[in-house]
Amino acid sequence: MASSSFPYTQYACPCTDITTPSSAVTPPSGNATAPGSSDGDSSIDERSFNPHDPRAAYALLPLDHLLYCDECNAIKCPRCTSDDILTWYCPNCLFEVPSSTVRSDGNRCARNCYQCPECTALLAVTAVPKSEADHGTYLKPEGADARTAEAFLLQCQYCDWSTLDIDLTFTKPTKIAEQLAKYRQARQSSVSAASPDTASEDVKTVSSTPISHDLDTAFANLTAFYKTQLATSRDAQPHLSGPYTTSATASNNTTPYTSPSNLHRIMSLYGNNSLQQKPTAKPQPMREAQDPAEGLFTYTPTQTPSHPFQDPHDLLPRPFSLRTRRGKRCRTCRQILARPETKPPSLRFKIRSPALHHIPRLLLKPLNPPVPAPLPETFRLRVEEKGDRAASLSASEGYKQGTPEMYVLIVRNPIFEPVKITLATPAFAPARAGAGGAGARVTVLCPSFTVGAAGDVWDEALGGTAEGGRGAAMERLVGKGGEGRLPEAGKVWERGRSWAGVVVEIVRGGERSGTKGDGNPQFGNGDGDGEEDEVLEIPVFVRADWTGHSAESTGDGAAGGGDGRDGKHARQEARRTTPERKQQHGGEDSVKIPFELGYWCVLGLEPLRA
Amino acid sequence: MSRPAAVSRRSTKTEYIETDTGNKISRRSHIEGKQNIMLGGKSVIMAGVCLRGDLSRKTEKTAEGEKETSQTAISVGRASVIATNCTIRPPMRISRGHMIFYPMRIGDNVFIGPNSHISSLTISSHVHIGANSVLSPFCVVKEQCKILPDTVIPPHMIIPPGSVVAGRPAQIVGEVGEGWGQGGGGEGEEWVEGGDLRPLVRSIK
Repeated sequence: MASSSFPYTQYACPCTDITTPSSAVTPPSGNATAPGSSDGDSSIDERSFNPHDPRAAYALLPLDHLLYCDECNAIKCPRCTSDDILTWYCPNCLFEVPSSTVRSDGNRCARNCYQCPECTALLAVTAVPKSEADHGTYLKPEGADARTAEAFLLQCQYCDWSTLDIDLTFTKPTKIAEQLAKYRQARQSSVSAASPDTASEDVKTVSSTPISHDLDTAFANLTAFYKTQLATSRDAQPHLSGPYTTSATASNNTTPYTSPSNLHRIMSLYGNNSLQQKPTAKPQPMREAQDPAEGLFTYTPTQTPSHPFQDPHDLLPRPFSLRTRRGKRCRTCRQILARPETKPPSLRFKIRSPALHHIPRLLLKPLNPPVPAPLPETFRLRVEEKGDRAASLSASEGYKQGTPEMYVLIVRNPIFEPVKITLATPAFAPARAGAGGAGARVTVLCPSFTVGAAGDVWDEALGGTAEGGRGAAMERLVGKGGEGRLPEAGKVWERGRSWAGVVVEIVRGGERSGTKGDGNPQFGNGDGDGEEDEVLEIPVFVRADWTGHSAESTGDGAAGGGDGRDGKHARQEARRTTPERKQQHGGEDSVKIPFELGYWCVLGLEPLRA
Repeated sequence: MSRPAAVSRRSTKTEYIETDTGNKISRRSHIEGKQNIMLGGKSVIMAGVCLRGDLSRKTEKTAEGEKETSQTAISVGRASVIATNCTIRPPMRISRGHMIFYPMRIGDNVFIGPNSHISSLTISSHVHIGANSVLSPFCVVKEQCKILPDTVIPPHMIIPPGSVVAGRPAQIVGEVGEGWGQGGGGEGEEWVEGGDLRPLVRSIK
């Protein structure tokens, strides 16, 4: 997966390999260990998460795209949440469009928002002297009644396309939609009557050229075809009561597969689901158009994709298509996970439960970072030249194929309870099949440890000193910045109040390259040259155990863990949801409930440079 | 109005001049019209940045010979970072034969990537702009947007909040996640796009 900076972490939603989203916390069942057996590493090699699986690309997401359902106690990705459309709005004028208007007038902005048909940039209404629009001359005397003799056109300020290219000018700068509709109507009628001069008085077609009929006729044919299909399906529906009548009517029909009702009948015969289902509820399978008479229209190779229309006169200003503001719900329990405010110009959340406030998050960084430590790719402060780029320091600088690379994996706990973390990686992270990479051996030196509870934002702010809080903390802990220390198995490398870092040893190239490197170093380097483009992706299974009061305690933790920007909202939300939850749990608030959460992450490492 | 080039209290050898409110201004930046520029505090203007504060609207009261007062041309919020070699130029247009300049507003926690050319009307808070972008005159970027590197935003384009924008000309290619800008800024943690940029500002020396 493309990511802008290394090393990156992506999180796998547990819904990946389960066809129906489940509330149970289980890792992907198809190729992963069950939560109970995740500690026992007997056959973890075969059953670990494969980041190179074609389906993994859809499962892995950066953490900010994931939500967390505290009823189900599970991570929710965009595929296992359902969207509620709250409002429709135009992205250009940011006006809300009522849903009734969307239904009646279509998914387009009805105001003066138009896109360039060539380049999709915004079209601006521009006033031009009429003489220029009419004759293309500048010979009118200076200032001669310019106000009254104005014409208007829509002009793209990016590619300079304008409605003059389709010989269209407007008489007034407002109500463009109306004027455009008139123009279109006039054009259509001119097409149908094959007479080029039936323009309305408002919109003037200066020199109408014949417009290719192909698209219009194809569209007309296609609509006719769909109408007949729909009509036949509706006619046949009363006969769908049972298998006996279907077989009887099917025998009467001479062409059994043409109409959707027949198709449906045959399907129901074999599926035998006609008893439970409501015939009107389900859209029936429909045949598609098969020949030009039915409206089939295919592009010929001469038409380029950017210009499917051969005639530039077919281009019309496009009204902006509307966008939606959506709330997210858990598919399993219908709990609202995110609900933004409906006002289009602002993006505030009334309710939001992002996963990064609920699940421990991972961050990989080199044990001995180069000095100065490189900024993440997206925060580069200067653009380097080609040569600078190669010379610039990076996380995996100085490492070679087959030598152990040391990284610190920092696990950060966003919730208000201490969490016991168990990490598991396959002993050998495989490379992408066929990419030539050799994979890597991965060892987590301390796979099981505890991370302290997250506190208030204030504690964090007061705890960190003004200048480089982390460096100072490190020095406090381990004297001279960890210089003289050696990573030890079973020991946490560094630790903060709500985070802990453990050392991970990564040997790229695996066994194959390692043995080669021992015997013949040049040979090993040669291997490295071939594999330098391969991003190393290491699957890590994270299991978190903690005891909490109930669902709302984690929600509260989220409010504290926020950066204060929406902390107020989150706290409000927590306060609002508290009474009903208390009723639900009925006074067992004092009882500590054990929670457990397991999920797969993928750590992406920069390819080695030769 | 804060004075960007206030007298430094540190030694004169440093790359950045720090103002009373914590703004960091590179000595190698090019700033015109200092009196028309407002910085909110803890913002960074890096080397090679060109700030055109001189392009400000003048009051057109020359009848009784009163002195021309000009408005704020560029105002930048708190903890925003303008990376190297950017050009910030307020938008302008000709109206009735006069060139009229419009004030430009940049919000809080805005990151503007290196080599960008910014001429937009408004950039709201928590916006991340990638390197080599061009924001054409009068475009409006609403809050919590992400503009990918090498994007060209056409003039007058309005980018709704929470959009991911890319392309030449720019198109909305996606939406930011619900957790956009969250969870960053902690001690020793990597910075999050659209999040609190104060740690980044602190690290620039």
